[in-house]
Amino acid sequence: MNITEQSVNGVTVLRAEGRIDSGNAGEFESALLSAIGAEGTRLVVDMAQLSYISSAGLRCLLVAAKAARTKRGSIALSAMAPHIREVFDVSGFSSLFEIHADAAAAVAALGG
Amino acid sequence: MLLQTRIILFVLATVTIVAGLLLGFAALREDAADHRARELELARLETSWQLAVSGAVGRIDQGLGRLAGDAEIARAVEVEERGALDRRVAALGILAAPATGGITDVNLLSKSGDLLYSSDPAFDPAPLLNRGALDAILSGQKLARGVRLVDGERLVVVAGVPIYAGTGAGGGAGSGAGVTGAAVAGLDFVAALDVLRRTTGGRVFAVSRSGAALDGETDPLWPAVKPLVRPAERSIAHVADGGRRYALASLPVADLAGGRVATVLIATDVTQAVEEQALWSVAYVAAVGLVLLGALGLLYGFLRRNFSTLDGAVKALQDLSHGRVMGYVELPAGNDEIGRIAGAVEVFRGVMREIERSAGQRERRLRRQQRFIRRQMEALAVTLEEDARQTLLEELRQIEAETHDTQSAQSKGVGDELGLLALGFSRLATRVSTQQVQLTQMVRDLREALEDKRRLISLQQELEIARTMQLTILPQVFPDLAELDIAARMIPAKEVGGDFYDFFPISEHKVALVIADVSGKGIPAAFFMLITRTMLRAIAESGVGPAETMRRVNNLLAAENEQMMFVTVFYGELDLRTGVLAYSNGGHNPPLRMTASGTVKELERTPGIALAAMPDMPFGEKSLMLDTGDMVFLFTDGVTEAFNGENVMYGDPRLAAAVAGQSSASARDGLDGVLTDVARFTAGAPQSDDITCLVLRWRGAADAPVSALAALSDPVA
Repeated sequence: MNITEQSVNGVTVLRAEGRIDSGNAGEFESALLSAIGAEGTRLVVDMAQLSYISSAGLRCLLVAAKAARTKRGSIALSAMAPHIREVFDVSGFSSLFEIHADAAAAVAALGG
Repeated sequence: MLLQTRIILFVLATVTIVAGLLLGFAALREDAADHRARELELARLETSWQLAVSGAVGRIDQGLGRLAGDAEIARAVEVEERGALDRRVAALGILAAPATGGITDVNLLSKSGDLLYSSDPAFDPAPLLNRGALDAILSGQKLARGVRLVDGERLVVVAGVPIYAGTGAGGGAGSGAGVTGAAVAGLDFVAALDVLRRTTGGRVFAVSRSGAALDGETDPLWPAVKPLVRPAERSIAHVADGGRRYALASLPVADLAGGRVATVLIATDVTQAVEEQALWSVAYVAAVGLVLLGALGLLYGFLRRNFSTLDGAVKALQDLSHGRVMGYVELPAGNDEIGRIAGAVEVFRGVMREIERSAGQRERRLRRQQRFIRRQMEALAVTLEEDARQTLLEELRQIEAETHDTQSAQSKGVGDELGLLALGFSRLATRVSTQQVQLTQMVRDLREALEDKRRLISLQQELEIARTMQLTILPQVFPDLAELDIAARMIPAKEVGGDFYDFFPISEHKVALVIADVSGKGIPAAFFMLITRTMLRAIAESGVGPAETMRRVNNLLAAENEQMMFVTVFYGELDLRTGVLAYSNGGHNPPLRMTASGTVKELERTPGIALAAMPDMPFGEKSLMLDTGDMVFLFTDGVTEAFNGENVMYGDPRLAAAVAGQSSASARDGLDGVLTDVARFTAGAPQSDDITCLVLRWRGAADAPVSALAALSDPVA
């Protein structure tokens, strides 16, 4: 897994590449939490380059969503591959997150 | 600057000053002598002039003698008979023309001083003598002789004598008795100048009181003399003309009555004298110069001879200062200062030789000590680890090379060799100390690693306990039911996972089927699994139906979920009497249903989400009626997400195909068949997640299922 961070119009865009499984979920969680950081952060997790996410990865997103809620921030997800989208649909997580076709749309949706 | 040079320069300066002073004094003395000589020359020329005037007067005296001695004239003067006088003077023929140099003027005067006769034909002629001079003659006291300016324009040499009464009888001159008158005669001034020319042999000029030329204008020397004419001065000047040099003496001429009336200039040829003097001056200066040069040459030679000894001593000292103790220079001994210095240098050289010899001994001793230290250091270096030893031995070799390099050793001296050795030793000490620190650290790390290992073993034991717990809560044996053939299996991953399945009766005719997957791994997942299973069992048995059961469990789990764990759950209730399966899916992979004809289909999804993720979420339920021979295959994502060595996922399609291949198999065989297919696919690739399956085959409703259910679970009401 490789994570890069970028700021687009005041919205933080986190790009996760490769696999997220129980082996590197801790790293993913740290990246998410540090990206949320201050109050009112708007965060997009772009999954265009993501090939696999396990339930541990979903848990990280859940932790991040909770942290964002506490700090009055917001999180959106973007550019899921079909099989990733399937994971979200099956687990019902699709209903917990805003999901957009691409990062630009997600940034726009967060008001960036 | 060398001392020798300084002394010579000092002497040279002193001699130059003394010579300058000597020459200066000589010049002053010469000036004084010159002045005296000039005075003498002027006096001589003045005397010549007086003699010249006297000569002219002598010529007058002949005529005057004839006048004053003539009885006729004496008588006529006595009676003052002017006519007789005119005749008598003319008869005597005394008067001559001016160019002949004879007497040009005659005056005869009475006893009272009246002018009785004058050769001047003017109506009122001026007397040749003034009253004072005349009275002196008439009184017989003094004869008047000298130069006189007549009529303010003509210079005449005059002389006067008294005329005595009864001339011929004679009377003593100067008595004043018997003087009846006076006779005065004069001749031209030029006559005196001619006499002067003859007596001095020089060239004579005369100028008037105002500087106008009176005589000598025709002389070729006049143009050179003219600018130097100072009528009032009595002096000697020098004139150069036509390659000859002249001394020009200027003598003012006094009137008989007083006052200056003319100036006589006498130019004497002094060419030879001046040249001689110049020659003498040059000779004098040359002699002085030669004497000085000779003295300096002698001084230089003397200094060179004496300083050569001193130079030898200085060279010996320089040799010593450059360390050339053995260089030998013979120093002449002597009792003077230089000799003593040479002696002291000789002693000093001896002492230096002695010092060098002892220094050599000390150096050899030091080298021996160094070699010893180096060998000890090498021995010590052997105990170091490989890299440090190599570096240290290399440094020792360098130090040794520098010590043996004579150039280096000589330039740096023994102290530097010791310094190098000290440096090497200090590095060795650093290395030993570093190695010591590293060893200590290594021992500490090793101890910590041992501690960690102990802790790890303990943790592994705990994990083993957790795994055992996970496995023991899963039903291993299923009741033998007429309606239902059921089999289940969990293959745990290396780490303790969070998968579980369950099967339990919830009423007289119903059994519950559960398959679940807790997010994460390890002890927390195991605990979460245990809690979920317990809650699910407790609430399911209250008989509120699948959706409500899921809703309640979700809210209970979500309430205290700091870790944000969640669990996907498929929960179903099967009515054994009818074969109706009511179920609710909380975010779990939809189970597969295979009909007797071999068609494989996912169970329809119901609204719902993984439990514990979010409280107060809605859960839906659906139901379906199983036909005889239908097989339902429940699984966790450990099956579909099993990866092979090429990182390819097993996936839903492969699973569906594997399930389809089990159409005629029993539950156990079907389960095994699918798992075998998965194992074949992964081909030994490491298993990252629990693989869990629960398979049931519906055999159709039975007549008396109660007894069988009772056998399954005692507490069923």
